[in-house]
Amino acid sequence: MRLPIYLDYMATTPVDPRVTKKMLGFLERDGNFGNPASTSHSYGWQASEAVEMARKQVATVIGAQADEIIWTSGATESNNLAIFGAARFYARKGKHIITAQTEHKAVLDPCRALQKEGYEITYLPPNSKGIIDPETLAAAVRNDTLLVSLMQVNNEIGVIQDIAKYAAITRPKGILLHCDAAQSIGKVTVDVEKMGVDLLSLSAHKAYGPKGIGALYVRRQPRVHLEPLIYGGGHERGMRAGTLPTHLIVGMAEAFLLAQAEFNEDATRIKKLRDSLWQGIDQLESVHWQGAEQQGVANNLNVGFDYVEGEALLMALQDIAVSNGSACTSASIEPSHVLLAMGVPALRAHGSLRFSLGRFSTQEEIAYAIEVIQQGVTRLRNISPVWEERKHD
Amino acid sequence: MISLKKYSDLVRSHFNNPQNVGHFAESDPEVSTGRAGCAESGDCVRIQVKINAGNIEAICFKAQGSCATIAATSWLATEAKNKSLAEVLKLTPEMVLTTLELPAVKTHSVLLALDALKKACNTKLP
Repeated sequence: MRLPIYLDYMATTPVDPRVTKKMLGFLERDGNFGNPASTSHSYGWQASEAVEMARKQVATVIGAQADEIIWTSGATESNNLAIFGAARFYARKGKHIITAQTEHKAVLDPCRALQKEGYEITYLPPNSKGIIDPETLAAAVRNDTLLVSLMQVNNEIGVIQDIAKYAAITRPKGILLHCDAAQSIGKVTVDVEKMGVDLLSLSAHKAYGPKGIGALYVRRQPRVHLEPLIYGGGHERGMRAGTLPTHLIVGMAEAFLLAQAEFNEDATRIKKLRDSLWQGIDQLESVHWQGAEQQGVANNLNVGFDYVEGEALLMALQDIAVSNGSACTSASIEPSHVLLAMGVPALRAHGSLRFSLGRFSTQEEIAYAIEVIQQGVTRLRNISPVWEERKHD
Repeated sequence: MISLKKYSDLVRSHFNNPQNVGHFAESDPEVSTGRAGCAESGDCVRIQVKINAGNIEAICFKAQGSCATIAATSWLATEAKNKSLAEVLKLTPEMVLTTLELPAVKTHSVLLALDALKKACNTKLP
């Protein structure tokens, strides 16, 4: 058993060895290393064929057409391209955008940047389980709303939003709907037609693919236009210039195909492990499962531990690799914006950890993690004056 | 939050094996208690001392907070033990930050621990 035990699969996943094997054929001299944009020789043609095959495969996994997939460097870039691209192209239509307080920073920060350009942003509040009520969205829509951006699976609490219900509100009004689906592949069904989205962001490294590659689904019927962020060669239907990384692209496609094929098996096994982890943690007093247990992905468990501070808890649990909220916010001292938006008290939000399991998690690892968590929390509470005084109350 | 790997060995040592953790009965007339922070802010320190002839004869603490808060309180408790009140009152935040190699962002942790210690000592000043 490798220590620390990796329980941070929502931050990133290791590349599946089957994906690595596929990618290795696209790197070296004997392999398919050509530039897919080289149209004058077979190296380029073969690379281009591989890229187009991967495009088709990724499209199939999400119920889209191949020419609706734009390769990017990852979901952060996809979110930026969707939000800035739509906002700037459709600026004449209106300057109002709706998103949620619980979105990833890769959506919130572009929205904040647009505020400086004169756009108005409405940040929808979630309920106490992290769900965005469609009626809250309906009430926020205005005549000048051009874009709604709402995620499918929350990266901190694992809650699944029913995107189709939002589309039922946006589509009749001609408002574009963007969905950050960075966490979705392999955890929930993604079908752009059923969801009714116009734009959808994807990431490879959350689904056992490589880092540095993602995609943006851009609907063609009816056609969605975007103002590009990167110029220089007109690649990707003019929406995203840059030489395509063939090895990463075929890796992403392979990872998505595996995630689709093994979805049921992974979800059943991982849920069992996740539930056993919670049962072990729940033996402690004053712990709270945060999020919607019945409307969440199988691999995530966000727990609030009263009477301990989050950073101290992470340090006490050095034998397991977990995070306190989103990895992207770990540089700041603020508690999770997602938990605060749900109404979790700031003190508990400070003492919250996200445990996320994955394809390679084992029962042995979970049993050990439970032991480490129980010991670590007990040790910290034993030196807490607040815990001691509470026990004496 | 700073990266956990940036904490010094001394911080890690005090965090993993805090020294002088404990509780003295506040009803004991020999005991003086200093508290700082509060449960609502997430960081809370309680230091208790027993003073004899102007010296800290015994000291114990409990702390809830970040690694820095726990480590700084443990280090201060070790440092103050068997010292005179005058010596303890000379301890500065800079001294603690430098010794524990804590970044400036952790100053509040050090101030909290020092505040609790000085409150405990001040109540016993002649």
